Amino acid sequence: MSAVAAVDAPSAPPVEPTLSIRNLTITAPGGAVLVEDASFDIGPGEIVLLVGPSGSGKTTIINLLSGLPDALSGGWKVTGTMRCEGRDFDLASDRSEIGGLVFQQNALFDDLSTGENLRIAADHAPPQDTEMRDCAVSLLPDVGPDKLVSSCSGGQRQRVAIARTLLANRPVLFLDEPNSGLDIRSSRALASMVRDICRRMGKPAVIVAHHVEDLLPMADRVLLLDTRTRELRAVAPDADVIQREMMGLAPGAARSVAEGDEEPDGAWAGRLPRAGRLHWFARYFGEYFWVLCASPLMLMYVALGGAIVGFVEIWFGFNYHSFGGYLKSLLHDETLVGLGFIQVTVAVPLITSILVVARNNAIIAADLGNRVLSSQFRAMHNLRVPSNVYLIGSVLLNMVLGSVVLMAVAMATAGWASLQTWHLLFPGQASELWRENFFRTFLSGEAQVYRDLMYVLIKTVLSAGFAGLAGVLIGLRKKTSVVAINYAVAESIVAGVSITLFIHAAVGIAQF
Amino acid sequence: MDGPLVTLSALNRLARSRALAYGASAALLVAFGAAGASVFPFATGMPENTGVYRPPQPVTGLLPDKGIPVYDLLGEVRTRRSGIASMDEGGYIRVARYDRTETPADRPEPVLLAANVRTLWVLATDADRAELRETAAEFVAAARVAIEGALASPVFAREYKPVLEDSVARAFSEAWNAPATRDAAAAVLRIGQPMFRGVVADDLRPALLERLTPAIWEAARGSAANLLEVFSRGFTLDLVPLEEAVAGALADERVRKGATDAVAALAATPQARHLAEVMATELVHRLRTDDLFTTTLGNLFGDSRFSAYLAPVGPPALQLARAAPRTLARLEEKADLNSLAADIFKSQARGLSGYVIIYMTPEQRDRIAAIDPLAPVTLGTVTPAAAGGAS
Repeated sequence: MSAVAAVDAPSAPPVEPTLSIRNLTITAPGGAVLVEDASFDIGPGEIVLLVGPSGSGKTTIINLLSGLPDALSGGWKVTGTMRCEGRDFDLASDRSEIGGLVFQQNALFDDLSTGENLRIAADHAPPQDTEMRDCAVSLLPDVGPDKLVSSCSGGQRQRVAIARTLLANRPVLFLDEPNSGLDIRSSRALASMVRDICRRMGKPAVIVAHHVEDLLPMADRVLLLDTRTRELRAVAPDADVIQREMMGLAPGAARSVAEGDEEPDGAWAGRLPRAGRLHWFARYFGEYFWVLCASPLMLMYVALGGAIVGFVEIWFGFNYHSFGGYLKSLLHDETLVGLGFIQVTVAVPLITSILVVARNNAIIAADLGNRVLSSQFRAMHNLRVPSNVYLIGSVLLNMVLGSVVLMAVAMATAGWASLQTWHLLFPGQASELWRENFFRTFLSGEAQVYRDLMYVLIKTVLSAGFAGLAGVLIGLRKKTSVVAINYAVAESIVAGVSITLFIHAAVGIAQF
Repeated sequence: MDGPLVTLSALNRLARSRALAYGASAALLVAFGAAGASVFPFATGMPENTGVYRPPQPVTGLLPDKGIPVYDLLGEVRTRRSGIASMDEGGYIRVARYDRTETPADRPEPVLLAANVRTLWVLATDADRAELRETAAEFVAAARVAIEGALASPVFAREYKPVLEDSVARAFSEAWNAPATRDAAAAVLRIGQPMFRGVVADDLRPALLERLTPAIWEAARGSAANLLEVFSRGFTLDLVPLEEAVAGALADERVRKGATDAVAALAATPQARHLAEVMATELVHRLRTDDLFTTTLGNLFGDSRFSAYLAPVGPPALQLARAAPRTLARLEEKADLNSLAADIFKSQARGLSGYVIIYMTPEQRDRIAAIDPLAPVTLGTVTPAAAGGAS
């Protein structure tokens, strides 16, 4: 029953193969066997087309060989061995990480420019020689390093993804349907480019494809994943032969993409400087700091919240108590003392935490959910980019630090609004009278004051941290559609605000 | 047509500019920081000492390191809180004015006044004082009639008077045996002849009991009326009936039988007066702590059968209740803050004796002095060097 890849004599890999797979068997969680006992070799610079019906497991094979973290999870069973550049791997337990993967939807980091997408790959890869960097850059004659991913055409994104994977400097290139969504001209240009890269760099490439006509001219061999026999067998690199073989298995689809024709030739010169992990952490930290804390919208939003709390406290505190205006003077000082204490220790911390968590948890869930849906986390892992540190670490750190900064903003505007409202109610009185009473508790300098302020800091930091963590966990869950991201956003807001309310209540009980 | 479109396009590009957003955030942070700095005391700092003064003579009840509110007198009666002061151990009063000025040019006189209702009284206008005096007089008259009618009623004589008199007699007995009373009586005895010992012990005690019981009622009635005249004369416990009772007891026929004319001289001594005061104090103390007495009094005030006597007091009481806050404290629905009245009422309610400093003009000070010559104490300016380095 074993299906062994037949290796044709004329195209047999010369000398030592770069990649040798032996007795590969992959069993799906339901028990279905995708491929059984397959063995094949791939030599340096060789290009192998991996074809088969949709859902046959082609992507699973290259995910496994690329060492993606989810390839061995979820009940999948894999057996077999692999040898690559003198290193042996037990595919049942080892994560190989020998392949650089170009994802089907490219999985470009859309918060980075094209240049940064290349740089982050290069900076987390083994050192590359100049030729490799030149080769990667040569794929992008019409794409400037500062160009945003969102403004690239489909073909440009595909080439950026290939260049990025090339800079990851792995022994083998895996391309998952690279010509999907490309017209014939672009598809052939892509095939020629891959051919050229493999020859120049001496790296083999495994390309998963449904539409093989444009890729066949540059393919050295074709392996067919036969869903009936579960074999991985060699077929002749002929379109008619492959079509006949496939007819009995499954169909496929395609669409065209218009290429942009920009031309920043030479724009890449010197634009891929090396940078350390600190640089990239700072890059992501700064990005999230901006989004979660420092953007004008966020500052105004929190400041407005603080100002409304300040106004409402004073206005209603003096105008709507039981005795009307008659006891306003008698109760004035103690009322201000109470309002000041409540504002600083309870009202502003609670309202600000809720505002910050509600907004930021929505952003976190949407941002991470989008990254999950577009395989950016998988791409990061494949590129050895530590997403947990760069993304999750930055998000949580910014939630905590941002909450303190934003709390200070809200406190400032709440205090200011309180003073202005007080002036409206008591025109002509000196601000110092308000200050003397409003902050009387805190001006006393007693130990209790520092304890109260410490509680404010504790509940602010705890609620932001735990709510952010909830947002991260919800955002990181598997997403299969945009609708799933929308649900995650709503879920993240509800979870974050609930956590915030609970923490403020619990800390309040401990405090008072 | 191109002009607006070009402008819109430029604005659109500007709005999408990250550099512009950075600038906006920086500007917002600066603005919010400035707003916070203008509010929080750690940024603005509370005012430090702006002036040092010394009262012309020691002032009773002015304690070191206790906050003294400082006000400015605006116009005729309106005050505005303008700082805080305190007296140091050396007796120097250090003022920290909110406006950081040493002395406001238009109100150069810092005047020390007691933090009591009397200060509000002297600061009120002549019209306000006249209105309040008239209203209070109406109330006092009505109250006096009501109290006298109630005390003379059959209900009171039948149900309350015996219980209250028993309580008074019991309290008197305990008060008589109290150490303070014994000491005061001993002082009286020491200045008398030894022959008076038997007289005081056997004759004076029953004679005092007879007279003190009605004297207590008289003193209570007089003091109740006095309480309402606080605005014009100040409250004092009316001890005259008690003193007369002691004098009367000493001049009683029974006492006279065993004594000589020296008793009359003895009754006029300070020791005898002190004995009367101590007795009265001890008596009142015991009555206040007597549950039966206080319960009976509570029932008395809640007894609807007396409502007919007390009903005429209602309208003048209401009128006084309305007039006093309005004229003295200027408490009205739409009134501005009156910190002086608030501080004084709170001080009185807490039973604290305190002072306030009010900056005013010499004319305003003279007007207050004309109403109560002892009320205003003008503070004398002291140089910081003389005050020991005051800043």
